[in-house]
Amino acid sequence: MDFTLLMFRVLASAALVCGILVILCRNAVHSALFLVGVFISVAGIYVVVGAEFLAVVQVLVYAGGILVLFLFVIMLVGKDAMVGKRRMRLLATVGTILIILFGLLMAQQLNVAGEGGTTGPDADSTRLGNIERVGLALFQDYILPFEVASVLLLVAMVGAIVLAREAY
Amino acid sequence: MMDILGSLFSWLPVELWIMRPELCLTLAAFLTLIFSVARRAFQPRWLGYFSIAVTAAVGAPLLDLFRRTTELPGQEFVAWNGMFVVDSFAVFFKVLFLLAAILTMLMSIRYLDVEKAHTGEYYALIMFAVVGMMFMVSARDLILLFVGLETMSISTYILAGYLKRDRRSNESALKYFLLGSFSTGIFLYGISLVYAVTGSTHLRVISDAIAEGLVNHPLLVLGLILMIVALGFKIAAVPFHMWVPDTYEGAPTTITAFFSTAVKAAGFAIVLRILVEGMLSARMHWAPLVVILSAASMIIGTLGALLQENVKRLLAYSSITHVGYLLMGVLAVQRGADTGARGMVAIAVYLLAYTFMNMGAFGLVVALRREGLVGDQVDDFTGLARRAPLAAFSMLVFMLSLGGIPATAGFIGKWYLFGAAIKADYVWLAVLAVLASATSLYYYLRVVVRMYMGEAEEEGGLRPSGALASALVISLVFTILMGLYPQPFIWLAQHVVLY
Amino acid sequence: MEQYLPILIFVLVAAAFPVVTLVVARVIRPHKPDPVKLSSYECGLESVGEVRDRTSVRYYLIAVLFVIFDVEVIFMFPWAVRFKQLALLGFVSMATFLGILLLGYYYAWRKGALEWV
Repeated sequence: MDFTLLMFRVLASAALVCGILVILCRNAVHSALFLVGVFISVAGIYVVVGAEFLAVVQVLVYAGGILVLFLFVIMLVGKDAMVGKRRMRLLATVGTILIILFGLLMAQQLNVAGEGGTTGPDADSTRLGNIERVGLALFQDYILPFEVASVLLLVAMVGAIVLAREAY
Repeated sequence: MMDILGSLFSWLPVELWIMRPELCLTLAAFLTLIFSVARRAFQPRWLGYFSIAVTAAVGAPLLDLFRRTTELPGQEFVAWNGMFVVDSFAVFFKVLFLLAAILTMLMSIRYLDVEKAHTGEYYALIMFAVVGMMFMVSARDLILLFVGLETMSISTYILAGYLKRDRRSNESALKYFLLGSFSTGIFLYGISLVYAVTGSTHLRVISDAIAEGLVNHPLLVLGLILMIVALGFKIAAVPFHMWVPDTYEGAPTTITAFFSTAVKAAGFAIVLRILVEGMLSARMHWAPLVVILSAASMIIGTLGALLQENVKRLLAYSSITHVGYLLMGVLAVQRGADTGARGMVAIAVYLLAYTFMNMGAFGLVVALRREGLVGDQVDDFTGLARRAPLAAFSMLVFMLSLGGIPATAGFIGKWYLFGAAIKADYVWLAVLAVLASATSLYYYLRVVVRMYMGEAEEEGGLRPSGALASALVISLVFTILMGLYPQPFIWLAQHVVLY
Repeated sequence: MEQYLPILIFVLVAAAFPVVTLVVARVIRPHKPDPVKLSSYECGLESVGEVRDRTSVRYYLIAVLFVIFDVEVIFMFPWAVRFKQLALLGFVSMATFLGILLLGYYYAWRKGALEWV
């Protein structure tokens, strides 16, 4: 087994275990911390498959920004909501079982699929670094979605302010 | 006049020229946003009128594009690496969105004052939602489609929770947001699987790849299923409808009207765009799923509406039933048969009719709203015929139209949809639809009976604002006109064909 | 892939360091707890109320704004590394992107979302 595959298996298992713990933890703060584990593991997977830019984004935006947001929300709702109830636990267990089933299905399908499909174009990978290629794709092929994304971010910002400011 | 306006923009490069409507509306939304917080703040009411005027003005470049795209069948303008396409299909839906947005904003002006939540952002968010929809229906690339979808969705999540002090509005927004973002994740998962198999997010490339023998690739099928599940959430088809009654009940009534018309139409536009333009070769995989969604929506929607005492909930369930009808139109699309065009035209006709009649019905609920009365109970309509005969009459028309009685817009829509289903050999589904619409008459007429037979508890007519009254009149006139003289509307809808 | 081996080793060492320190400290140190020692330290004052108090929604607002501008900055990264090749078109599209978000910044500012009181 080569190094890449080994690293992928280690990181993927870590992400899975952390993900399951996110759902099963009774304390919301613990869940949030395991979520960091998921994010970091996924960032590691991105590095393994050669998508360094995504790895950086994953760490900066998710492990940095989004998680802070999660923690604030947890603190916002107060102590009572922080510890899960029995019923939530049942739902979480059912959810976990379903997710495992889905994962098994996917794994089986992937085995069946084998080579059939084509994966993304990867011809330039030796000539240019990953971040350069993202830059070219984003600013040459995908300019329009990129610009619309700025409107999307603006709407999100307006929304947060409209809903979270006390006064009208 | 048109030519002068046209030459005003002729210096634009073609990439921008074909998205004049989007650009104008985005700029207007920016301006509204700035005006709402400017140092010399504008009154929200005036921002409302400004937004209505601009949205109506955007109709001009849109009509110009409509004229150009309908000169020849299949005429289309493509730009941005083939991502952004302006064809008659897209233009029709954009007109529909503008129409729904204008009616919504007309209804909102007085309503927001009563709710004490009148700010300029409201109008900006509606316009942003429309911008998102416009990019959605013009997208031939799943990435652009997704970004447009999200712009629309986030705007509508916020609008659902706009009445911050109303617990029902909070609940509505939260449920809508959680299930909406969940379905967004599923949609993205579907896109990524399709990309993994076909190596592209462009619908034409995907279509070619599928036709060249990837049809039965398990990951492609899985991606397709995930996308249908997510779209099912967006258009509110059973079994992905759980959020609908609560969201529709709690959201501001005007926004509920917007959800049930514009947002739903946008959902159907991308369902057609993806399933027909991208996945028609994989029809044998998606058709059975759509059959299930359609039948389940008709049954559950009809049963759910039977006992509702809240008009907004009633209309929510009824909208689920209508999704069931509309999905029959999707099923009618088949390769190598003229039933395909028939299905899409039927959907267009139906959405047009549905926009007018549903806007009108929600408009009446808005009209009942005043200080101290929410006006969303069926009981609030009791005896309305004596208090406000004109309002009661228009509600009568809207209800009959939703039920599909001849000489109303709803009948024309149903006629086309059910006919398309029968032509496409889904006779049992059409029979189910007829049964569902016969049953639905019961709950629509329940409101009518209360209005005309009941004894009103209070005196005095309704005093809708001028804007609301004009929105109601527009809806009423078009609902009747489309029922009596449908030809121009059908001519319009006949351009809604994907090639 | 191999060039990441040093980083991997670095990460492992970094992770091992606190674990080893804590374990060693636990083994060596004396362990005599009493109520005063176990109480949480509040600058010498008696602690009042719960630790998990509800925080103001303003923190959330700030965090959301942070995430949005964070995402914005992320997009500048791939743009900057290919700045010359992307030429004017890249510059214009980035300027538009920033301009639209600047509008959001103006809105947030005027709306008082950046003020604490």
